[in-house]
Amino acid sequence: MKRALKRAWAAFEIEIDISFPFPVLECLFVVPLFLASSIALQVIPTFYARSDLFPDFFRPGDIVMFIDGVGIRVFAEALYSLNAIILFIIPMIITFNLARNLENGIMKTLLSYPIGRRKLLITKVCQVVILVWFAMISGLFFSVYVFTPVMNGMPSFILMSASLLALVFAVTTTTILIAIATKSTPATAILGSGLWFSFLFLAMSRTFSSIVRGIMNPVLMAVNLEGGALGFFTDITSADLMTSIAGTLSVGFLALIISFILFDRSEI
Amino acid sequence: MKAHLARIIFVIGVTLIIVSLMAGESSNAYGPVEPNVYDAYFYAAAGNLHVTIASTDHRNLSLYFMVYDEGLRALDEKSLDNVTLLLKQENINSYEGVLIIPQQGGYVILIASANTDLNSVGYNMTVQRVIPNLSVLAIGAIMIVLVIILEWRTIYQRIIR
Repeated sequence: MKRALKRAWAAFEIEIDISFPFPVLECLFVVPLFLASSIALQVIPTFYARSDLFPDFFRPGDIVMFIDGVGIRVFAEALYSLNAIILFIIPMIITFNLARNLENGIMKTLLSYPIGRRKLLITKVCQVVILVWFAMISGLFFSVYVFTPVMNGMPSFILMSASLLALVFAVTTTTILIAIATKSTPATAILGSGLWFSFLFLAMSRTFSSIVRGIMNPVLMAVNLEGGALGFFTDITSADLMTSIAGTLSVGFLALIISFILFDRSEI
Repeated sequence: MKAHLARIIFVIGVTLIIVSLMAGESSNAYGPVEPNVYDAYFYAAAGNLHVTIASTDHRNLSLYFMVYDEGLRALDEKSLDNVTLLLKQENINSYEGVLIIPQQGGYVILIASANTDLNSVGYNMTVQRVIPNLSVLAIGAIMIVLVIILEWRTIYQRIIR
């Protein structure tokens, strides 16, 4: 067990060195932090009230809700902005991390290490999912916590973080599937981001039911549900969001299983 | 891996220093405040706020600053008798200063007319974050110093080369 872990860690380290030359990994952490901070800095949330119209017109409950919900709203707004960046960054990472290796023969060298094909693929998936998700979430939490008071609503933060994790996982595995199927750098980059950007636009367009659109982009549904009215989804519940997250994860796992089968059979 | 980690911590430190110096948007408020009425502005504040307020029609006004629970009580009772204030500036024509935020949370600025006549008082108020954000600046600086301490050998060798 210890040996297997050591091997996996060694593979992870090699992967990081090959796939993330300076300053790719550094930018992965800095860009979300900077973007989320810029969004959190954009507003000083203000609620206006007058004593002569209080409590009939300006209700105390509205004020309390406003103060308590500020952190969630800023978090949702920043997450909404990062959503599009994720759909671009992950296919690019997979392109240079996997498709290029398949194209120029580096994969042969990687497979000469005492690690199976499936383990290598899992290492790549874990690496991208953990790094991208952790970089995004830590940047978002830090910015919101420092510049906007986070008070209540931990379940909302957990739901939004889970929706981001599901999206990152699904984008990673589907792009890996494309990379293995095409073994082409430009095809992986274009098809990977093109597919998920198309899903994003379809999710915004209201052509399909809420759940289907939620599966296409659970982050969009989560920021609508938890962060206030962005207007893309109406009448949705936490149960709908959880169904969408489960759906997106299922799409991701399905893509991963097909990737395993294709990768086992493909000639490198 | 260690080199990656050091570089990540270093660039995050630099980013935090840049972010701590970013001004961000300001919040503007204006209006006439009616006699015997409090205009209340509730803010969700994480750090000290810089406030500038000026009367626009040469009449005086009063400015009060408190936590938002106290602000709700003031609005409810239409009085400041039982309210704990963090700052009080009465009968002023203009004011510029920093509102000290003891801890993250909701705060209120109350504006009232300081005149005994029945005329309203016009005002313009701007609220901004205080730059630099010292806590973020300190975190950024600590991260950079930490990397320099941990990686001084590598840095020294590179300079020698």
